[in-house]
Amino acid sequence: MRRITQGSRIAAYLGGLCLLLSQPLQAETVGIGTIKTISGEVQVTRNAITLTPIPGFELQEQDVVRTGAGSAVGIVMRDQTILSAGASSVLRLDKFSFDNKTQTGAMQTTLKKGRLSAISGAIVKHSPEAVQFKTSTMTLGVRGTEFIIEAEDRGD
Amino acid sequence: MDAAIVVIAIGLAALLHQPAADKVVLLPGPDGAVGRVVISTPQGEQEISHAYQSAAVQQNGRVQTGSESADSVAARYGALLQAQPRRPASYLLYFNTGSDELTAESQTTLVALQQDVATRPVPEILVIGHTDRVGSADANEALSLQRAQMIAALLGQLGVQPKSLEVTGRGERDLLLPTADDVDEPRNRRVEVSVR
Repeated sequence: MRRITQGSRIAAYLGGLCLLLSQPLQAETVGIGTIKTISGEVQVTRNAITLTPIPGFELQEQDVVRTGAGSAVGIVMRDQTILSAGASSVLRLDKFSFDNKTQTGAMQTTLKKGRLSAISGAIVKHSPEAVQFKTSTMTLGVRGTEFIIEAEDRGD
Repeated sequence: MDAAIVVIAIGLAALLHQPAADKVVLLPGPDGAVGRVVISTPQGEQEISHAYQSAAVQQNGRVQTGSESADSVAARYGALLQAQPRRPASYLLYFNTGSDELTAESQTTLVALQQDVATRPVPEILVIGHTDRVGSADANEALSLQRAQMIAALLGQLGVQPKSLEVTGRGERDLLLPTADDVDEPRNRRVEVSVR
């Protein structure tokens, strides 16, 4: 697999800075998904550092995405799962892996509060049992579909 | 004030202060197809499988199903759905037999692809080569990667500038038309350009 990245220097810089701070230098890290749309205030917390993403920002496993009041964010994961989070939401990308060649992988996402919409991607198509969406009170198993989750704020 | 009214008012206030239940609503896809979601809690499991069917976790941990409508979803979740990025799109490109020239139809597809990339916020491209089942699986994997690389180079020449571009070869793993081994099937010998 080959990867050419252009533009989006700020996101790359922020991501690179985080990697430098948190672990030994690695060869190019491929994000698990990309923030495509942002309206209002959106923040990403990674390794206890808070980042302010711009469209094109590449997400990593365990990133926590937060939206402010009246804000929203749209994300496309590498397996083409589409996610959007509405106002005052907290979404954690617990686990994600995906192999483009075999289309196998796994995904776990937790909505800690707020609203999430999802359109399932290739992982659900090829190994639905490997995909879970969670809130503090429920776990969802998904079989090829689109849905909305709403989660009550029970404190972080 | 009538004592009964006070009691009712206090009761209503208590209801309003009760935390809303965690909830899921199933939506139909653009083609009307509806999948399934299984909701699990320590108290049990429920499946929903109809458009706009919902499920909410009750105070006792059990899952209660219900139903919403297109209108109620638009009213409550309009802004959320508005924030969804455009759906990924897939373009299939074919070569004239025995040549590295695209078919006339694929030339048209290429124009649509370019327009898509130009209008999508931070577009990302995945170029996927595929083969039919003539030859060994290993040889086909290598061949599919070569074809994908050729298309990636072509996109570069055309000035298509995505935020990122990845190339992969799936060989004969992902047939458009399933066939037995060693079947010559031109429709399976394709390069798929997935834009997201």
